[in-house]
Amino acid sequence: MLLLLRRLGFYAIALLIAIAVNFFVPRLAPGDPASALVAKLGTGADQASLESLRTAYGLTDDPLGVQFLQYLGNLATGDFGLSISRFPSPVTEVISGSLGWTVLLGSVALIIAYLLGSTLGIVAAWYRGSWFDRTVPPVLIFIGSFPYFFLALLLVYVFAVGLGWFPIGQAYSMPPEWSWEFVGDVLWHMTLPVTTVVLVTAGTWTLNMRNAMMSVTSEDYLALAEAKGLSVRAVVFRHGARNALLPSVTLLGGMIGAVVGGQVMVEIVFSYPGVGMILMNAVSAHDYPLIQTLFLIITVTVLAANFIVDIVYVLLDPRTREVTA
Amino acid sequence: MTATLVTVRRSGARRRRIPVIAIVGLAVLAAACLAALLAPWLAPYPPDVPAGAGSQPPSLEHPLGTTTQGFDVLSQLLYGARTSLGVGLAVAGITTVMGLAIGVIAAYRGGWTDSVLSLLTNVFLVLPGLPLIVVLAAFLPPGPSTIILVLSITGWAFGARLFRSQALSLRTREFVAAAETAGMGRLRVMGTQIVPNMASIIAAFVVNQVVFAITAEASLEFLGLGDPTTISWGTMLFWAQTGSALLLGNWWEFVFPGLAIALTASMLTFVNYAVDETSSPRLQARELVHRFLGTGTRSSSLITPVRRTDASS
Amino acid sequence: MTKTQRSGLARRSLAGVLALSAAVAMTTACAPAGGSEGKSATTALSLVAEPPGGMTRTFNPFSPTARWAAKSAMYEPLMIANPATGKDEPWLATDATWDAAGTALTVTLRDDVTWSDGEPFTASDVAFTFQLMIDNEGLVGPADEVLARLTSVEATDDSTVVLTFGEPFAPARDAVLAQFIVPEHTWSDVADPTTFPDENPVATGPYTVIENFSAQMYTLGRNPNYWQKLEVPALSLRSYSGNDQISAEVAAGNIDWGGLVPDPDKTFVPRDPEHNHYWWPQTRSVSLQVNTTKGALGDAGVRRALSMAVDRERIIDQAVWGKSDPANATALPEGGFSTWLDADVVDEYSDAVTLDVDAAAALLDDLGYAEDSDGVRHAPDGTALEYSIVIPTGWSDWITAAQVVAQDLTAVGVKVELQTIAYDSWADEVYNGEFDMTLYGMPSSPNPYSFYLGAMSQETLAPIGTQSVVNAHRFADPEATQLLQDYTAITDPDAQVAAMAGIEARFAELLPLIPLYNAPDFGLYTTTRFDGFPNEDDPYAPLSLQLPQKSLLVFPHLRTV
Repeated sequence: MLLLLRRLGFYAIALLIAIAVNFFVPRLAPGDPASALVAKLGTGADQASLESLRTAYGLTDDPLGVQFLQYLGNLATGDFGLSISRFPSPVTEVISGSLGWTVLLGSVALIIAYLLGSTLGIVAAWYRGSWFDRTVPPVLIFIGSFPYFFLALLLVYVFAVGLGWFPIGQAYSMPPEWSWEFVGDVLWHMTLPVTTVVLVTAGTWTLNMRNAMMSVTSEDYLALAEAKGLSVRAVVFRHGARNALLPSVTLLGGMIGAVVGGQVMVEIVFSYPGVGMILMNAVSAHDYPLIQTLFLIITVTVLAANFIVDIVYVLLDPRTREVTA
Repeated sequence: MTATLVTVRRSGARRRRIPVIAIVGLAVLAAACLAALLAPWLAPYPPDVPAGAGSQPPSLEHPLGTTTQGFDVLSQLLYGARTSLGVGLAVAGITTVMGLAIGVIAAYRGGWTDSVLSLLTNVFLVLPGLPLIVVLAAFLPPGPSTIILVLSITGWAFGARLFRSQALSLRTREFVAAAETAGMGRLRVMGTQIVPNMASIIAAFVVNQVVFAITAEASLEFLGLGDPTTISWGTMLFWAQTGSALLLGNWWEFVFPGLAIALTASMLTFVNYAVDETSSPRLQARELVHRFLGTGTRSSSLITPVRRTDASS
Repeated sequence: MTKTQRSGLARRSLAGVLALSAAVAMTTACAPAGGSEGKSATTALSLVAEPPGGMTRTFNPFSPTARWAAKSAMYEPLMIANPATGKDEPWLATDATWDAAGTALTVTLRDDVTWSDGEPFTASDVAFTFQLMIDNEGLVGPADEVLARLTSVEATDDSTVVLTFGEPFAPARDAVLAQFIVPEHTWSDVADPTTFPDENPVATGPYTVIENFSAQMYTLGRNPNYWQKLEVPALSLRSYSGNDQISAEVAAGNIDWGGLVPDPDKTFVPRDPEHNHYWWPQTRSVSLQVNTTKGALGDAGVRRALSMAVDRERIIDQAVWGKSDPANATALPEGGFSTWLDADVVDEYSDAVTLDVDAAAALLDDLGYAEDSDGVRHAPDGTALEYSIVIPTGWSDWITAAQVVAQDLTAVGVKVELQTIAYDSWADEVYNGEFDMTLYGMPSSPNPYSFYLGAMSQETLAPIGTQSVVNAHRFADPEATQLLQDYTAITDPDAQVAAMAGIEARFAELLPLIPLYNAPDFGLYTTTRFDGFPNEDDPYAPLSLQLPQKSLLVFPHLRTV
């Protein structure tokens, strides 16, 4: 319990630092979005308009420290501000739904990559030393060494633009509704992005599984098990299952964190409306409130996932910390 | 007592051997680095001046073709290698040094120092990496130096935790105690006893970091967060995309920089796997997973099992 | 592990993968196939007009980031200046005339317009709109620049509005007529118009019914009470992540009306030569903007030399695939300013904008800027002519153009280095006068007055240290200032043209901005589903969706195929 409280405290500190970094870094760069935006409009706006807009945007001339405290105060009351690039929509409206898309895309991709990669890894370990084992994992690693956006673009131009088998991007083509047709539409749109992620990550899972399997099948390991009187099957499946098949609780937490924090590239290439794409747009537009809130959401999600993992870990088996010496 | 360089071995069942793929990988890498260094002499044209008609497919005159603006792709690739590999090596160097410094000191000193440094490490570990990279890169002046800075800031923590775990287990070894008893200063103990025994882990980490940095740099530049007037594999891809190379059918403009990145990254990865093949696969798997996921949650508890080869197993 | 045990393990995972794939495949098979875009695919016209990223339901036309749909499909202005014909098209207003003193503008409105909710459109709505903008500083609209000069706005009857100004200012007419009108009966209840999202707009425009709205797409249906006939029943708008995505969609034939696709002769037209068209008229120009407070750059002769050193054709080849023309010395393209452009002035000053490296070098020599051993020229006082040209990151066509400029100028001894920086930083540097060189894109305007005002008038000159948006190059010429002031008092259109010729000549003489090339207004369309778009054979209106309000001119002409 004490451990959990300490962890909670730790996460709180991490969150505060994240918020602070995200607040100060954009404001330390020269220029501010209000002047730039109004300037883009051409001759029109005069000084009074500019001032009024800056106030509406939430940009003041107070010292940064004071602004930060105001910002924290606003956070506490749930006021996340109005988006500058989509003025006057509230930031929450811009973000709503995006987290769901990111998690959806990421989870599906992760599961498929894991299953596919692990299967290939098992086969590779099974036929260890064969042509399969010697070529498939390295080929997968090679494919996975291409940057996400590279593979994504290739897939788009070959399969979507060239052959027209899949949509070029976005999450759906028809107005959202609860129907099988819409689900199908979403899955159809998800195919290429998921394929991209699978291609990039399958290699790692393959090698992971292959090596894990090989450790499981090593002779003296089995000899030890048999010496202990356990049936080989029991040992192998208990350890094989743990090592090779079941994603550990740690992995799950890490997965949510990675997915929410790392899917920017795929989302951008495919115009997938997740937090990654919106963050990139917000950054390009120097939309401070949107950037801050997105970053906050991502960080909170990652930290929360970690914390839940901590809790589950403690509940499940306090002894199984990985300490071997 | 001399420190024994410890190699990790499974209980005698398999000997350490370097697979062919690792040798091939090293050779390719060496060639890439050489090409990058000798770019000014190897490149047939200057990379930033139009060298011919635009959008030319690969030919004798331009072995890798020309871009839509008329730059020679081969020359750009060679010059670009300097920037890309340079950034990769710089980030790897900085994060390794920082990670070592913080991790080993935290492990060795223990107590308050450890608590503070570990807290720092864990905070950086748990912050979402890519969004932070994007935000930092967007608001600092664009260019390779910014990219190096940003990637180092977000990448050192993983190393720190890894090296700390390693150092923790090494700290309790007899040779360390012996060195301390013999009066060796703390710094020297860390430098001569602990760090050298982590050599293979350090090497693996460095290689991983280079792979990560090269790919991350390309991604940032592709997003437009780099300086498009520099020449690197990433900016080549940025310009290819901006010039709609694929739409125009100029596949060479897009494929070759991507291939360069993938070849370099995969060769490095193969080298790493080969070297690591004798490490505990389970550790490796866990490390790989964390590397892939880019996070670490079991903050203070990952310890590398290290067994000595000359002790009776 | 025995074979059977391994196979068991493998079989289990294999089964899992197969099951998942099967599930995906089955549901995918139920998905709409091919290029169909949803239920109203064949009846909604898809166009590209939304910026990247998720969309939110806000249609407030006064927002600085007001969306295209608000200004070009929903709310309408009093008159629309049509750059393609050079005329004002009467729209919600049929007439606007100055009185003899030139201080009162009487605007006569159409009497057959109703708002989308059925309420009649009257002069009180017009008066209300202007008053709303005066009362709320944060509202942004075309009439902004003249609000300060207004002394009163009055609806004298249901179809007439009189706007009275403090002193004669002819350009006010254009600003007033371009202003869009919002309904009094819905906006008068709004607490804070600046932050009002306007989720269900009541407007006079052609497409005001929001049939559906989500973060990635929305559909606008026809206004049942529109005052003109419309054949196209709905518009479909999506948000894409960037130009490359849009280009891919265009190439795949999913876009009916779009803007830019790179090198369309290669990527767009060949895919369906019968239906795919593009039209890139030139209505604005891009100029090299130098900070005239920095030594040599303040010298008109130096600027002329720089102008002669730049290879404009090469810029056009690289930045816009050769599909444009070099700008003339007045910076006014024929396409956008046909009524104003004076052919004699263009001829007289054509040398100043024609590539002649030798003449440029000779001119610089004559002015006393000798080259040193490095090939860099120095002013008589010793300062080297070394500058940087800054461009916002991501503006690839400008970056390309700037690269050519930098190379060309360096070749004649003026060393120029290209720097790309974030947009906000760029705006900051340029508007605070801290830059050396950058590019300047002429804003769209029916009348060159405001361009020249910003280019060389004392009225727009602000000292370094204060922000200046329109005259970032900090230049003023007494003669030009006088000419421009005289111009504002002239109300007769022919006399205005004659006066403008004098202003153009002064500009070409001094080159405060160095015109480079004409920026095409990108527009494309495909006639597989809809027809009636303007093009070079029938240029009744602009095709580009980048010019706000002009699309209103196109909608009544569109037909379903």
